[in-house]
Amino acid sequence: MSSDVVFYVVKVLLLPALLGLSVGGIGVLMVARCAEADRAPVVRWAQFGQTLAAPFAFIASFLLEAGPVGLPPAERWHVLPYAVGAAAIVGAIVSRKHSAWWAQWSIVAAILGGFAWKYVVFPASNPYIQAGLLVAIILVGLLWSAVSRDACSVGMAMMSAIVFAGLGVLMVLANFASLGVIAFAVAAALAGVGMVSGVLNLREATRLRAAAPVPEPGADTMVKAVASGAECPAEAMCELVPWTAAGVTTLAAIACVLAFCGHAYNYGDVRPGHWAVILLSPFFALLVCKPCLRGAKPIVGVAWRSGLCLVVVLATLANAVSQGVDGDDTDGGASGSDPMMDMFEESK
Amino acid sequence: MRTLIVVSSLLAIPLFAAVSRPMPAAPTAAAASVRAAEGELTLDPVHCMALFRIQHLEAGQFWGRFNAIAGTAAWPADDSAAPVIKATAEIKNIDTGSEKLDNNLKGPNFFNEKEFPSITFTSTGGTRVAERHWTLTGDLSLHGVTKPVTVDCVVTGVGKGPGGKKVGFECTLTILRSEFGMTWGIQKPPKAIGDEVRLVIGLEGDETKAE
Repeated sequence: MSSDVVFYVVKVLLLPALLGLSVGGIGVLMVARCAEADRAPVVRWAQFGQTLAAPFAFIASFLLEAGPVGLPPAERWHVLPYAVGAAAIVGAIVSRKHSAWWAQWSIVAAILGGFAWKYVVFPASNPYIQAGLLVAIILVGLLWSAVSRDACSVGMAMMSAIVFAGLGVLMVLANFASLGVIAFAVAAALAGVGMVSGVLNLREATRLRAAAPVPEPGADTMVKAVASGAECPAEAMCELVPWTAAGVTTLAAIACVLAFCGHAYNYGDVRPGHWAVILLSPFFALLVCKPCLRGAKPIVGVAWRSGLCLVVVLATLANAVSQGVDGDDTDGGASGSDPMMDMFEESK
Repeated sequence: MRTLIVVSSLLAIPLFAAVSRPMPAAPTAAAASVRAAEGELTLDPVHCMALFRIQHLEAGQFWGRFNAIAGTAAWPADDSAAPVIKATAEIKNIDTGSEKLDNNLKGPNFFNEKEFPSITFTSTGGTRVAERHWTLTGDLSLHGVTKPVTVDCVVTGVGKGPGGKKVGFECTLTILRSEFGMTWGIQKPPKAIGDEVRLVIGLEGDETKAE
C-alpha cells in the first residue's frame, strides 16, 4: 500500500476516530480513576463526552474527506455536518439533565426529528419522505433507548459501531464512497469507546468483587450481581459510564439521517429495507438476547448482543450485495468495481 | 477487474447561420453574437456526443462519453463569424461501457446527477484561427459551478441530409474538474483519478426549418 493511501486512511478515518475516542473515552477513564464517592459529577461529564464522541468523529471525518462546507451548502448532502453538529449540541445538553430515560428520549427525538424534518432535505424529497425521517428518528431513537436500558454501555457502543459500519458498507454499495468512509470513522470511534469502557468496566468489576464482602441473603442485589460476575445492567456498580437515553437517541438520529442521505443518493442496488434493517439491528438482537441472557457474565452479554447484531447486519449486506450481483446481468458482461476499493487494491 | 473513474463535462458546439452582415477581417467576440434567424441549426442528439478522457491511478487514460447532446448552434456559411453554440449534455446519458461505473459517476462523489442533472455550454464569443477553425469562449456549467472556458472548434463539414443542410463541428477543450468542485479522487483518496479532463465533442446540426 502506498504511503499516500496510508496517509489518507490515517487522516480521514483514524484521526477522526481517535478524536471521537478521546472525547468519549477519556471521560470513562476519568471516572475509573475517581474515588467512588466523587464520581457522580464526573460521570455526568463523561456521559456528555460519550454523547459527543460519534458527532466529533463524524464532523472531523467529513471535513477531512469533503472539505469545508459553506452555508447554504453547495450540495444538499453537505448539510450533514450542520445536522450532526445540531444533534451533538442537543444530545449533549439533554444528557446532562438528570431526567427519566423517556423524558430524555422524547426531548431529543422531538427536537432532532423536527430539525431534520424541516432542514435536512435531500434530493427528490417530498413531504412524505420528510415525515418519514421524522418518524424514523422518533422510532429508532425509542428502540435504541430501550436497548440501552438492557444492554450495558460496552454492548451499546459495540452495536452502534456495527450499525455505522454496516451503513458505511451500504454507502459504498450505493456508490457514495465519501459518506461510507465517514460512517466507518464513526464506527471506529464508537468501537474505541466501547473497548475503553469494556476494559475499565472489567477492572472496576474485579476491584468491586475483591472489595465486596461475601453477599448475605437479602443483600443489595447490585453488589450481589457484581460479586457473582453477573451481567451489568445499566445502573450496576461496575458500569462506570452508562449511556444516557439522550446520547443513544442522538446516535440513532445521526444513523437515521445518514441512512436517508444514502438512500436519497443511491446509485447502487441498496433498497430501503436494507437501510431499515441495519438501523433496527440492535433491537432485533435485543429481542433474541433479553430472555436468554439473564444472569450471564458481562462479556457474554456483550458478545451475544454484538454478535447477533453483526449477524443481522452481515445478512442484510449479503442480501444487498447479491442484489447487485443479480443486477450485473444487465451489464452485458462488463464488470465494474468501486473506485475506492479499486484504488486500494491497486496500491498494494 | 478494475475500473475507473471518470469525470467530465461537456461542451458546446457551433453552428451555422445565415448572416447578412459583412464580416470583419478579424472577427472578435462581438462577431459571435451572430444570430441565426434563418438557418439556425438544431443539434441532432443521435449524432452528437462528447468524449472525455481522464487518467486513472496515474496510469492509463480512461475514455468515456456523453451521448445525445442537445442544443442549438449558429454559424454563417461564409465563415464570417464564430459559431454560436448552446449545448446540453444530460448526466444520465453518461456511457463508459460499464453500468456500475456509470452509476458511480452519476453519484454524489462525482457529477451528483440528482442535484445537477446536466452540463451546459453557452458560447459567448470567438476568435478566428484559420478557415473554419475558431477559438470559442463561453460559459461551462458543471456540477453547479459556471466558469468561462476556451474551446477549440473546427467546422468539420457542411453536407446535406434528407431533412436539409447539415453542419458538423468538432470541439476540444481541457478543464480541471477541481475548479468545478469535483474533487473526489484527486487528493482524497490520493491520486486515484486525475484532475485534468480532456473533452472531444462531436456535433452535427440540422438546419432549422422556419415555422
